[in-house]
Amino acid sequence: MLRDITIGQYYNTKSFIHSLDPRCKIISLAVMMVVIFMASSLAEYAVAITVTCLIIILSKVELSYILKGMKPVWLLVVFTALINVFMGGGERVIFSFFVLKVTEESVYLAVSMMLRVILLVTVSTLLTLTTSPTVLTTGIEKLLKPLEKVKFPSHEVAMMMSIALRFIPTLTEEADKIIKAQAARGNDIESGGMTKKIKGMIPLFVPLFVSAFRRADDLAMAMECRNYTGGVNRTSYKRLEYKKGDWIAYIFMGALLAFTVIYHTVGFLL
Amino acid sequence: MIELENISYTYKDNSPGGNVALDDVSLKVKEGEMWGIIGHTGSGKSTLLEIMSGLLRPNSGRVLFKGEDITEAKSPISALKGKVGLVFQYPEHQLFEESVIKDISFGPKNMGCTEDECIRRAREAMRLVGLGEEFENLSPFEISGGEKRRVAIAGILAMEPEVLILDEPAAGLDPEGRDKLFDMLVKIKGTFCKSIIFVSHSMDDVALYADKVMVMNKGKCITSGGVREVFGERELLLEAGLDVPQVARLIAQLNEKGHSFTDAVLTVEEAFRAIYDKLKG
Repeated sequence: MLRDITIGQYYNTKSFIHSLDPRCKIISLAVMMVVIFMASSLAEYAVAITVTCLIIILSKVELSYILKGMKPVWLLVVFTALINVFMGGGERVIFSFFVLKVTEESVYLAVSMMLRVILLVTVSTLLTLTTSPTVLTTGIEKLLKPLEKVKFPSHEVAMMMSIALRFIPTLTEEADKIIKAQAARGNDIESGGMTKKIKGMIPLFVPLFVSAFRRADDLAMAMECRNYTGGVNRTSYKRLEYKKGDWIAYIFMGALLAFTVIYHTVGFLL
Repeated sequence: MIELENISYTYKDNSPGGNVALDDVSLKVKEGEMWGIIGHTGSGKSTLLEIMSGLLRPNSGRVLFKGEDITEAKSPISALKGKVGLVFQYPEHQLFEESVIKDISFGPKNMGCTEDECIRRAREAMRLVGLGEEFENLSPFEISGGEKRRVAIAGILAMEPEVLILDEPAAGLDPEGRDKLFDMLVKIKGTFCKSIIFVSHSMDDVALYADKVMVMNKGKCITSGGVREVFGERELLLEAGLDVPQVARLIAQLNEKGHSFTDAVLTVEEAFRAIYDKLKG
């Protein structure tokens, strides 16, 4: 069950998106986020969905793989949608029940919130699916470099992020094993009420945390043994250089951002 | 006790058709037997153990415990009612309670035993694995690695399983710890626990402690039977990326040089006898 988590995993293939510079992809992700959050009309959502689909096609990542990554966030999506449907407020009531009322506005809000979450998760999953963790870290480090002038530890932050990403699959595997081991001792988290389920989590979380700390300790030791001292004067094996494709992507994303901003302001003015 | 009939299991992953872990595996474990399962990494041993203990439901085939089909049950693991205990690899990683005795009581507590019964079973399990009373109130995180492993095994024994299954119980232990562990298993087999099945990468351990061996290769059982018969088929074992115990290899080399020892030499003790007799005679 836990093997299905694909966030932070790399999907190895060759595609246009895979070949892009990580800096370009990170900035594009930021642009996509702005576009998705600014979207308020049907046309804007259509554009956001189209662009996301375009990226999926260009990335050559199997759709089933992306959908599988959505599984853990389904609950969140449904939850936000439900809250918005019932608590959204608004005038045009469709039907009401007790203190809850469903209005046209709230339904619209719920659907748009759902779309936003799904699109956000999809585009961010696409970033990690198409960029290997090492390349991604170098990209983040390069992007944060200017902040070093104000004493921001860009290398350390990038290293921490890459370690966190690297350990997602390891820890899910570990969690899978612990779930099974405790199930063999009769720990049941599948059936029973909420309290029973939460109680059943303790035997899973304690060993998982213990092993996470142990791994962190081992890793710190191993890094120190190889004289790791942080980012001072460190060179990188992979040098990042912008290519033609990156400029095309930048122009496209710039145009997209410009369109959204203009459309939005014009929409307000009208 | 446990019978596996034509078990197949495929992990669903991203490769087309999935990842075949087991392909038509059958095994019959009788009461009083000590089975060793050997095989290369990724040969399907761990999956087999998980199916035997009801954690996984096979895609096809039947698992019979005392003649009762557990694969048909809604939840195979509940159908077994703790009668088949599985000790995972590095079981000490699953400890979580604040005291040793509480951790060992976790299994019986889940089975619905009363408080007194839990404590009785936990104490009995501690005695079986050779942990003294002084351990009862220690935290399972402050004792040594070997002791942790024994606490974890006691946690399974407290459920009083009739069949005990262990996945590489000796991994990471020093030679003395390994000998102690296997001696303990031999002793346990005489109690409520009637049969033991263990996976090992050490041919020597299997030769020394198991009566029956099953050899796995690429999800298939390539041979199984008495220790002597199986270790007599060296070619087959080499093909599976395994080998015979070191002593048997020594005897084979001596035989190549023109000596004529029988093939039934598996342990140091037996080799000593055979060579001693030859030198005298």
